[in-house]
Amino acid sequence: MPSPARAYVGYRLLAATAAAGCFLVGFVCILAFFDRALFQLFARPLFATDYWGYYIVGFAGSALVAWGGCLVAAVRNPVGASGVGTASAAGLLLASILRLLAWYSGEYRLVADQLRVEAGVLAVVALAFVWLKPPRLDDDRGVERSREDTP
Amino acid sequence: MTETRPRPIVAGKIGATVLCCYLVAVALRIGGCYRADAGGRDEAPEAGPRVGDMFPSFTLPDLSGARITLGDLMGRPAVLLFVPSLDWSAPTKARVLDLADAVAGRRDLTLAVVLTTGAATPRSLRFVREHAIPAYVLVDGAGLTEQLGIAVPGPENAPVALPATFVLDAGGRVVLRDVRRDPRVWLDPDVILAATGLSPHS
Repeated sequence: MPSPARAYVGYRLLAATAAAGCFLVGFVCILAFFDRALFQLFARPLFATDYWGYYIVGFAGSALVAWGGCLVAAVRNPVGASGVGTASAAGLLLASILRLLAWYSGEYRLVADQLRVEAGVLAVVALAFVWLKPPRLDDDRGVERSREDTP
Repeated sequence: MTETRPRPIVAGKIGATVLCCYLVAVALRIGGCYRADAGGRDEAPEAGPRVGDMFPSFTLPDLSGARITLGDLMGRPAVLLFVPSLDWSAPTKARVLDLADAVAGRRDLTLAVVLTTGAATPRSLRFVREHAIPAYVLVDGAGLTEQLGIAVPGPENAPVALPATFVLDAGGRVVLRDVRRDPRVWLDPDVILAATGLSPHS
């Protein structure tokens, strides 16, 4: 039986990578909002949108940072926070569907291939979350793992 | 003591896996759903002016209400794009954005997008404004689309135009015509620019 540190190493790596991505994109979004709303230090705005767009960008950045925090919890305790994997997979699937619908609308023609690639990558990452995530706590194996992870 | 309870998680995993695989397949294949095509088509040969003919004169209002005539488009090559709708036709939006991107910033070419009155809905006009389409957007309430023979019944039987492209030389003569019935495949902007005799990059 693997030691607790080695348990679900693939899932931990996946969650850590996703957390890093969430923090990175989240902080860029928050930075863009603050730059636009307060400082205007950048010569060119980071996003081509209006003040309401930046408001939403700032909100999305905050949500991404929160999501990253949840993923860090999943890295520290994969079994105890296994629901984070389920929620992440659901969120990634939704994001993938959203991008395909955006492609299909025709409104995003000039970034159409980027949307397709993003949709495919997000679906693959969601698949990884689905299969790498630990069983839930009330599953037999999950309880065993949780007991192993408890100091 | 029964603190554990197996849960039927495999079905959920399989369902999520099927959905993920479907999304990946769609992402790989959706490129063929609608696209630009390098080959010209003429799916309504009886309609409109032929190559070499003068384009019929017209006077149509643009979005600002100014009346635009064929003479206003002459003096340099012009592309007239007849579109069924910029409201409900996703491929038509993609087609217009494709061409708008290809001619953006060019001063040696005039682009005009023609919508029938029934197709000039608020959503269509918002699309044009939000994307800053570098074109005259003309609202055809004068029957030009019917006169050319490219009108078909649209929603609520209001006439809408077939997806048609006419490239005119500086004198108003047709140098390329492309009339289609299926809006999902449109003429590649590079072919249109080649027909004008202008270089692809301004």
